[in-house]
Amino acid sequence: MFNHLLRRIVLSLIALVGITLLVFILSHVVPGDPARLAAGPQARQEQVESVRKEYGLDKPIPQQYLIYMVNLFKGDLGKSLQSRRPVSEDLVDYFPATLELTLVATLIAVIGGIASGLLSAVHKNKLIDHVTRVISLGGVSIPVFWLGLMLVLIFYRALGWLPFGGRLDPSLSPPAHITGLYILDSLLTANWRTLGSSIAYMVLPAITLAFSSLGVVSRMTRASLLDTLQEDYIRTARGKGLQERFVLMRHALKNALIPVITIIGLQFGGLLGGAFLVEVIFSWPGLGTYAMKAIMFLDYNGIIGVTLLTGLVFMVVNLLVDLTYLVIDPRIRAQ
Amino acid sequence: MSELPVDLGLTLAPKYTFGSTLLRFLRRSPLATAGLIIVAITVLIALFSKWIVPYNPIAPNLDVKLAAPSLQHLLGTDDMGRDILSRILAGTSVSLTSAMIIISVSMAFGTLVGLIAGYLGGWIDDVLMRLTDIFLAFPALILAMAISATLGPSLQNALIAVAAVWWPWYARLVRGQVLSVRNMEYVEAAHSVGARPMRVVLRHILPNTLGPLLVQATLDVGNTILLTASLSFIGLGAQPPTPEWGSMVSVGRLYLLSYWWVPTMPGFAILLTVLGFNLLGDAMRDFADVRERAL
Repeated sequence: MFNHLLRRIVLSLIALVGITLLVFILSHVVPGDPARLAAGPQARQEQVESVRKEYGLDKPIPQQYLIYMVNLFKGDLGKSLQSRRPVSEDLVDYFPATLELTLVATLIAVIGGIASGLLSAVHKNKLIDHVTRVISLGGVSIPVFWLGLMLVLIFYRALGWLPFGGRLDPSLSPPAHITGLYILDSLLTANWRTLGSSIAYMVLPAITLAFSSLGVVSRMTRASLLDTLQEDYIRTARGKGLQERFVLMRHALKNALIPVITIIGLQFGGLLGGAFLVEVIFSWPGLGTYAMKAIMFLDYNGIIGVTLLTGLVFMVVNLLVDLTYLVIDPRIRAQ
Repeated sequence: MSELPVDLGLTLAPKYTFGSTLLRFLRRSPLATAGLIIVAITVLIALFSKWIVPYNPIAPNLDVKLAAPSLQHLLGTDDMGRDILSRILAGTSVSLTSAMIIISVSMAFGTLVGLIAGYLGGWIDDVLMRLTDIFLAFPALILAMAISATLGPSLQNALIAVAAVWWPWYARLVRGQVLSVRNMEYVEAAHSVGARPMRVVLRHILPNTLGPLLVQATLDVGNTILLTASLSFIGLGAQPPTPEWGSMVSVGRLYLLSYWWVPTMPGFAILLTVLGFNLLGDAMRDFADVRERAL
């Protein structure tokens, strides 16, 4: 198992290097002059050339890539053409918002998905099962950006129950920076007003983002649980007179969760991607918002930085998923 | 001897063909039938949209801009006064054609890579699979976004970007299928009678990968429509005035709070179409499972 993990880490690192190469090649064979864009439309040729020199865009492409990779190992992602700051600093600023949104959405998807999958499996072919299944199929079919707009229309515009736009009421100042996650920071500093506001602003974007993954987790839980309930040890557990509730939670659900955890790991990638769309709708100041600006400015360093960071996060999450197997499945531990 | 001279009075047992089994399956599953109906209607609209649109889907008509749904304009009009229903109908073929292009390109390329990797094995397999790892190591939307952003915003580039992140799934699927049939006796038999590797791959291995590929392709129609629409939504795919659903929602977003129908209607079209393909794909997957279980 240790060897397996090591192999996974090495392969993921190769993949990371591969992706830098892929995005780098792509971004340098296309038309469009980033130096001119950064210098502005009114800039004279000399100014454009000086920007070009400043960012190393005048060197041959292989050399540019080498310089980029050497810097990358030093944690330097280059300078952003749009903010004129180091990309790594930009990412540090924008990442916590995306992380908080994605974590809350994952939590909603996992808890909601497992609960509804359990309900569906226990009441197989009853009304509640049909309703849950139709909703989960709807979840994977609905465009996340449209769902966000519809929730805004209903809960903000029509009912006025929830706020939208940003992470916090504009009259409040953000909680003291500890982790950059507003909900957590508000809790840590016992700042109840910002806590309430940041939770209220979180509800719509998090539900929007979680919806499709919730459906996937729910379907997986249902299918896996129905399989597990056929097993001999379940019959044994029932046969020796255990309460049905105990059989379900301790014997069936625990074993049924293994494939579900795999799915959750894979879904996390979808959630990260979806977060980019959700951020656009809810003016959420995270990586997606940053990426949109980078795209408009042809800011290659910014685009590569965002892509690499999300890839890295996705990789770490999937490694964690592998580790979770160790905890819940003694058979894998024994190998 | 061409024919038996006497009628033996035998009738053939009812024959369970693929078609008849499929038909019985659909009859038992109302959701699958719903999916099939939605897909059929969508395809018909895509084919005949030119003749059934009530208004010109592209030409602006500022006299009636942002008109609410009415008998003249069933789904209302957008910021340029264009009939939203007409644009949705015209957009059907944009979405379906895009999905078809993405799936055929990524399926062709992925199948090729998967066949080579699975059949040859060894270091070639290793290299090719590490290559797919690179693509799968990133959230699909983000990688597609990065590729499409670097190529520049257009529908064509968005299709290239989506196909670029999609083919590894097919490569994996086909490779897995090849590995599972490569050592079967009939493949060995083909080798031993002197069939060339190319012939073995094309005639004996490839046909056995087609079933799962077809199921996957149906499920992927919905996914690729969503991904392409997402790219258009963030401004990287189809550009105005092309009647593409994602970009219609994107433009309509600005009018959400005062003119709700502008972004709502095209998004609903995406939902309905994707739902149709997912219902059908799900049913096909169950159907394939049933066949596997029966064998």
